[in-house]
Amino acid sequence: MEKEKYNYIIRCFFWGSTGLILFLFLQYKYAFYFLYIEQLQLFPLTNDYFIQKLSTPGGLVSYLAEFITQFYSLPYVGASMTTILFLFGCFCMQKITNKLAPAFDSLIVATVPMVCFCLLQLDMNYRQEGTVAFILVLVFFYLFICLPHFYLRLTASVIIPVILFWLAGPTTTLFITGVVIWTLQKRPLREYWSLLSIPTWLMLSWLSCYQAWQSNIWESFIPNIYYTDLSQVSNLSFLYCAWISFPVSLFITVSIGRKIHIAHKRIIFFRLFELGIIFAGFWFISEKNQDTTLLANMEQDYYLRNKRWKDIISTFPAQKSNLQTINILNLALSNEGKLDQDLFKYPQRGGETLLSNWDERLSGAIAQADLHYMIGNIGAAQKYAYEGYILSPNGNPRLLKRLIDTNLIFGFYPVAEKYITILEQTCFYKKWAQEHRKYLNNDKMVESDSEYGHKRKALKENPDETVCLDFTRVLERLAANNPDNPIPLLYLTTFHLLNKDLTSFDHLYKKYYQTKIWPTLTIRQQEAVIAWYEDQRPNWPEKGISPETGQRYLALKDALQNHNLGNKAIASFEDTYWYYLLFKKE
Amino acid sequence: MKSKNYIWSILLIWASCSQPDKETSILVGSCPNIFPDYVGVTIPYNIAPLNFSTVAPEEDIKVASFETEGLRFEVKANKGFIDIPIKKWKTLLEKSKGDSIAVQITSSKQGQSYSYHPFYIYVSQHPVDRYIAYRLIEPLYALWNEMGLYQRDLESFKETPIYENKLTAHNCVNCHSFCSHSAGKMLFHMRGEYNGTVLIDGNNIEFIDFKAQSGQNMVYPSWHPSGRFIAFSTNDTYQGLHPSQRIEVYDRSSDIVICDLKTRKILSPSILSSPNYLETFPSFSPDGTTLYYCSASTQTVPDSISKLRYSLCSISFDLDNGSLGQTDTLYNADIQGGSISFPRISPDGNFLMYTQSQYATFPIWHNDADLHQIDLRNNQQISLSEINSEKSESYHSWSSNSHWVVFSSRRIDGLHTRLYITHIDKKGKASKPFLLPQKKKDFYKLSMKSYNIPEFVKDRIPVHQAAKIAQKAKEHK
Repeated sequence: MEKEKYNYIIRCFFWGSTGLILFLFLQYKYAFYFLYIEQLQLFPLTNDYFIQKLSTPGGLVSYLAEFITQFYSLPYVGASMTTILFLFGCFCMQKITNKLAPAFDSLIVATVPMVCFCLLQLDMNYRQEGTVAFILVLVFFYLFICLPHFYLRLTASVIIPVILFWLAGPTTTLFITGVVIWTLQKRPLREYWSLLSIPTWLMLSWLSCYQAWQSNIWESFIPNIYYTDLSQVSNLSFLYCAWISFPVSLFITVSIGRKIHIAHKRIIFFRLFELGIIFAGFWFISEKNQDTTLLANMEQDYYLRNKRWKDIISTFPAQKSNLQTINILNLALSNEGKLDQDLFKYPQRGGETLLSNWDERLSGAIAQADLHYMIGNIGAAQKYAYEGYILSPNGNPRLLKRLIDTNLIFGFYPVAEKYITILEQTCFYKKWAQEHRKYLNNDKMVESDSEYGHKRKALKENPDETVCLDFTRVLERLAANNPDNPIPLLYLTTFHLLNKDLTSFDHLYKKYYQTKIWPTLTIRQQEAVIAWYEDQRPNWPEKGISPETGQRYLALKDALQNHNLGNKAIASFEDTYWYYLLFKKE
Repeated sequence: MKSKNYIWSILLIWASCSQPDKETSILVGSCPNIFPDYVGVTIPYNIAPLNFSTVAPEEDIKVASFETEGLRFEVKANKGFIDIPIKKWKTLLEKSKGDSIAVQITSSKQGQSYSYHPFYIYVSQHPVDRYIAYRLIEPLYALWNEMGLYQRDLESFKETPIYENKLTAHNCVNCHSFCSHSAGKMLFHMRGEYNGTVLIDGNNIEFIDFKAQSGQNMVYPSWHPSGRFIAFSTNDTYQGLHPSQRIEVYDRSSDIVICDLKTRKILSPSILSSPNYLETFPSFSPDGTTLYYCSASTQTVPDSISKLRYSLCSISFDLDNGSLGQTDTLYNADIQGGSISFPRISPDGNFLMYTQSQYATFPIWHNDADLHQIDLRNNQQISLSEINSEKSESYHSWSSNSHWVVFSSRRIDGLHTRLYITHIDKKGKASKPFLLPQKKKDFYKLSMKSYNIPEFVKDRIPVHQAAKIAQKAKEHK
């Protein structure tokens, strides 16, 4: 009795420590990952959706995975839910190994498959339903090996694959593999009837192919469908390793597990050893596969989503930057009123660092939708929000919210109402959707709204323009339609400056400077005017150039002509447009 | 005695509560405002139940009665939704063939009961083809994820896939077309890595890569009634953002070619592939002697897109050798204004229906796009004001008996295309159209997909055919 109690305490310690360490690790490293993946699904909490999901093979696990993921929008829940799933899977696996080899007291064998699945869950391309499906297989397999009578097992070996096929999809293969290993382990000959599960499974696979539920018969046997986009997967073998770990664990348990017995006195050391091995392995693999740039992008995306401009600027990962992250940084700078002042403190490389071309990926669509919306280019914001929504395999509440914004601004109220109705079916976006009903069919309210009002004001269309393909033309129209919003003009002039296109800049300067659209020049704009009108120094003051800027240019010119001052003197002009113009490559 | 009185009073209260509200309800002289709007529509006698609810969210339908000569039944609403039992509905339609159904609604609003003036649904003696085939796709911009071709059984609510793109790496599938409404003879295109055209003739499935043969992608098809020829347009299509109508789609070039399935040759007659003109939307007449199409003189697009106007033309066709004769212009857009798309001739050859918008070739994005009709017996225009709306009406197709037209319209929300069916009488007059009925109350409210290219089909396409098609596409790749 004492021994059992001791073992129980040790086990509790083992699982408690495992859970705690895993939670802390996930929360520390992957907090923004969970917040990011939550927005990639729209989960309606309705009976119709449940029935719709249940009517397709693998639908239940898909529903359960989506149900769990919806809570990831709350802080700490992503890490907590992943830990709970991990512990529950390990608990089921331990029950199975105990049943197969009661004396075999290795928790590491019971843990390895779930460690693999847990690692898979940290891949954005992996569908969490793969893990839920595996846990369902564990539950059914445990029930199967616990059945007391031969006839019950025989019946179950035919019925369970059918049930699992419908509820959990291709993971049924793992159940079949388990049944085969269990049967082949010195069972009486009549138990071989359990292998009827194999033809049952083959028949179901053929049927699902015949009925066009899947594209080829292999999809029933392999785990590929648990990746959303196979072309994005760098290491498909990892998914297969997770699957193979289950039969390997079973095989180890039934083959050598019955022969090994760990001495009671050493159990504590053995548990600590197991714990060490598990976490060393977990740490090593996760660190090796971790995409730190992607995680940094997800953190930036979270700040963008919540308009935390200061956080975007302070956490900007200069070493891991790409066009998209610099686009978002520049947006944050413009919202903080620092785009002009701090422009060249960051790695600008042509107009694309202000607004890049879309790479036709979902992450790009999310960023572009927000960028264009903030600038006021509502047509493009709507396009990217919609394209992103289409690219999201299960909808996207964040982009649907953006579509509600854009449709309200355009005055497309019936469409906005449709999207609001859809969003009202979710648990965590319902309130936001309900609050936006008040704008429906209410132009006055939209126009008086601080956010929607000035964006609608800027939309006045040019009757000569039926198709707008040029981003600069759109920005110019937005600036002209609503001079109160300085961002479109600032973006437009900065776009020309970064492209070193002073001809277009001068065209705008002549057209709008000293009008209400462009009343004064910023420092960088003054620097650009000097660069263009360098030979008209007496006219600089009337062209809007301050004496300080003029003096600074003369100092730079001096430094360039007088080589004795050295590169250091020239480097002190790194924050100026002249330096960018002369020395930076686009 | 006291207890007896007590029981009587309970029974009296119960009886007064359980009585229909007829005595206490307010009679309303008008018809109710219901969604979908089925008031005064004409329907075929083999259509699925027309389920409906009220438009006003604060008003709940309690009960609806349906009455025709010799039959009356009531349907109690479920959360304001009238879901008509299919058996009772079928009996009702059978009895009211060539007659009408009176529908009376009792509803409640803020605790008050209202009894509406009955409205009528007219039941035609002409049946409609049992199936409609369409593509379901998100309506905006360039990308897609899941899309498919589906068939809807009009006698029930059952929708089954003809082909879903999940079988071939989520590629684009489009332009399904049937020879004389037959499910056994059809085609559709696949794009992307499985680029080609799927031709189905009975059990024979063929995958043809026309682009590899001719260097051109085949787009809008039209079967010759003999099944030997297929006319295709070859369009070089682009898309741009539009300041108010979301997007604009236009062709930089387009021609018409004719594929001879017997000789396996692609005929590219110069008259239909002029570099100075954009020819598109081919459509064979039911007797196979004429090919109708749309043609516009080229413009600089997108800058001069508002000047791009397509005329409606026809050309005689010799089915012995696939040669073409003289062209004729039925509608000259340069003189008469507007731009023509989708000419479709009724199977009896009497009418030609087309879409007209202000300019260009993609009317689905033009709110001004409407359906128009010409009586080919006297070349007179027939007004279709009954079926047009303030939003876009675009693609349409005739039933095999020439009495029904299914067309796509964006009248509900201006973005998602929905299917409407209208009855056409002998003179070509259209009745008030009805929205394709659905089983669920909020179906149209929640569906993010658009119905694309609706085509009537006489019989069902087997579901398992999809796996064979995918197999063919993969073999070809």
